[in-house]
Amino acid sequence: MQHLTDSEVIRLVACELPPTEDGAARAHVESCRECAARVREQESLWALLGAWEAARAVPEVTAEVLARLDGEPAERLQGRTYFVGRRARWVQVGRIAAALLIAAGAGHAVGRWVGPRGRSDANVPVSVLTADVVESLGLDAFALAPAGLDELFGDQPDQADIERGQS
Amino acid sequence: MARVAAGDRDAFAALIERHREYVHKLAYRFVGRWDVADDLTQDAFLRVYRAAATYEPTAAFSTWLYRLVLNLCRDWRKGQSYRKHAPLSDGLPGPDGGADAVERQELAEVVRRAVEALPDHQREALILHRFAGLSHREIAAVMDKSESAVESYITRGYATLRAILAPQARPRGRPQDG
Repeated sequence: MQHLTDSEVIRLVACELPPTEDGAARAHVESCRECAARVREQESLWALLGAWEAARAVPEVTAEVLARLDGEPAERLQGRTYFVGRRARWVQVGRIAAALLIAAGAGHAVGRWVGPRGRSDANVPVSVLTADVVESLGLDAFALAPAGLDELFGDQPDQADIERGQS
Repeated sequence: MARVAAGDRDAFAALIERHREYVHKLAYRFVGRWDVADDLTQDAFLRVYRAAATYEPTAAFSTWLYRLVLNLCRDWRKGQSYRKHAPLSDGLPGPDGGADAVERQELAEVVRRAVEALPDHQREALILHRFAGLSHREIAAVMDKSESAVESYITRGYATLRAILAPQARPRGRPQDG
């Protein structure tokens, strides 16, 4: 038989091995000085850990727990709270962040669709966009055909008009 | 648990009585302080009551309860790590007489500190193994980890403790160095 693994040594000392494995392991330890030394070390450590006693009278918690129950709102006791623990809070934060991201993405997409007709702002020269701003602010109010009227009465320039105006 | 979920206070009181000692000791092992263990024991049973309505017996109740206790203790320890508190103290009463008692307490404190020094997963797995007497499979269920991961935590945990506690843990009958 091969030497025992560390885990087998631990399980052997903790009496956790199944009967057949336990028997084989003990037979091996009897004939293997190295494994016997490892088992002794683990037994010694196991016993030493037992020095950390937890011998203290158990507090009378039953009455206190029941009293605390009486002091809590009913819905909280039924586990219907939205923020039960740290994990639930993070889930909630994640949901809010996801909702904001989706809203921002949707807003961006919609903005591209309902922008100036027939074109996407992403492909329009800055000078044309500046002209749009000038028109929308009424800065050409003294021109022969103020842009605001076109916008109101639906006779808006198409892309070809814009490019012609540029040239 | 079904009776507890139905609001049966007597059933809940009986459940507390049945498990309080174990929960209290386990909480103490995880946090290292009796005063905190007292509070966490109460919190644990309050959570049991709150969760009773949604409890599904997919695993043994004790496994579910130990996981709940472990999570409470983890939360407490996380809270502690953000504060600059004094090191955890055992909360044991002073020596009540005799050199043996003092020596025993000192040894207990050495062991507690050694366990405390382990990385979180190793410490939790080792406590559940050595002090709660759970098998690897049960520990895996409580910690929500695979059995192989638990085996690794336990093996490394004992190896680290063996190194830390070497002066105290010499096997009997073996010649001492020096």
